[in-house]
Amino acid sequence: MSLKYKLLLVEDDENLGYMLKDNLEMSGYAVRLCRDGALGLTAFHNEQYHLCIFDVMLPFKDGFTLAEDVRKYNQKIPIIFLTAKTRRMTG
Amino acid sequence: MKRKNLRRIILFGSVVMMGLLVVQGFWLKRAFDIEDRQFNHTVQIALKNIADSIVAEDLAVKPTETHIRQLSSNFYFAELNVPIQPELLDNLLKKELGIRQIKADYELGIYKAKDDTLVYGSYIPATIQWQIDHANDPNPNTEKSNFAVYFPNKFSVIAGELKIWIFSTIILLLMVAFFIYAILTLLKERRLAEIKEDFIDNLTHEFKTPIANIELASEALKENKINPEKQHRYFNIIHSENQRLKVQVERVLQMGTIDTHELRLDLKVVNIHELIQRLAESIDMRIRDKTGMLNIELNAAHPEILADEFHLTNTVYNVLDNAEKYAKDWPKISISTRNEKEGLLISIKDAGIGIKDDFQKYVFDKFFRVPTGNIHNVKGFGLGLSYVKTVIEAHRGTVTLESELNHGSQFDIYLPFK
Repeated sequence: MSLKYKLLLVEDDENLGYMLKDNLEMSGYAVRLCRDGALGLTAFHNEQYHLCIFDVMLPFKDGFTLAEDVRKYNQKIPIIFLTAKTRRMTG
Repeated sequence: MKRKNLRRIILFGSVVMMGLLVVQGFWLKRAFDIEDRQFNHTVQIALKNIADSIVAEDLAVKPTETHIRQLSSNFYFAELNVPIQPELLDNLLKKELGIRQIKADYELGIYKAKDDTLVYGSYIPATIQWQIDHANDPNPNTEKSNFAVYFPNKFSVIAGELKIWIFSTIILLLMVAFFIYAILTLLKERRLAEIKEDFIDNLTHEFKTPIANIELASEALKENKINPEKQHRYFNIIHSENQRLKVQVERVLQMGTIDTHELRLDLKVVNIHELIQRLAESIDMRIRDKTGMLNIELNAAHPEILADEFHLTNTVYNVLDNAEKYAKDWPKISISTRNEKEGLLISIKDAGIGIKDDFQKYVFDKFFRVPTGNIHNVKGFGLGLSYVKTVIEAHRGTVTLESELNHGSQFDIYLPFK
């Protein structure tokens, strides 16, 4: 049995999270879904992942801050952001 | 406009304005000093002339030297040591000051030379024309005397000579005031622009998510790659996201109707206690799910009021909904009513996250949401409290907020009986 790539998906929207996880799992990935930034960071510390997918607007800890925290421990892991934001510059 | 640019404009403008004020102040002071010196010089020459002519007229004594001394900024003393007739002195003063165009009121005093006691004193307004009148005084002053002149309005006389300077200073101050006004307007505009951008961001997020979800779910179903057990969940997703979109559209459409002049109230007698009970039942479940508590104290003896039931229900619901959404750990909310003055007061208090002082004055503004960056704990458009204020004001009532960050908020809604 080949090695499954493990993904950390942090998305607060219940339906979107469910469908993304389902689709990714159908494509052969092992997906850990978390509902907010704080839980996402805990999950990151608990397991090894190959890829992170973070929503930008999240409860408790936003996706960018979460990525900064992740980068402190792992400089190589690829991170993909999901966002519905339209502006180039925010904050 | 970028924050950095605005900061530069404010900084640069303030430096320029400060510089202009300093330069103007410096030149104004200098011009005043020159006028002051000129005044002193002219007055001293006039007094010297007067003193010399009085001494020359006194044939009984040998001409002696006279001294003029300035004892303070507006007080001049002439040492003569000869008898001085007040009328003559008065006339000479008017003549000399008149020739030199000094139009200032003055006080005149004649003092005995030996002990400085006042022999004669009078206040002479500048408007009285001088006349030389050698009418004989029945009791001429035979004592050796000196005289002093005091100009009480010297400052305003000098200031009157600086009209152009004062005019330019006023213009400059107006310019500074205009600059401050422009900056304040700019800051206000920027805040509005930020609120608008946040709103559009928020709106996009709230609309794009359900659209993306419907798209994802329908594509998955279309491609037949979902096993039958999961299919039901996907159909449910499409349905719930469609409902969500419908609610969002309704909320946006409501925006247009929350201006006071467009809000048409359908007034009828409403029992506030019944309204609160109904709302409490609907929200109680959500509060209990979060292991919170809702405390209700309906103390108003007269709970009936003339109001628009639909809008008032929405209003109380919005405040309650916020109290539940912005709870700290679990919602702890209390609703109370009491009769006050000529109306009814509804207080909704929560032990939630509270609102920072800086933001409290904006919470009733349309589209305003307390900024949280990308932290997205509570979703919304920033319309709820704006709607509350509009509805309550349309009822000629008031809504006030007391809040402390991390301790909670209290909204007091006062509705008059009319």
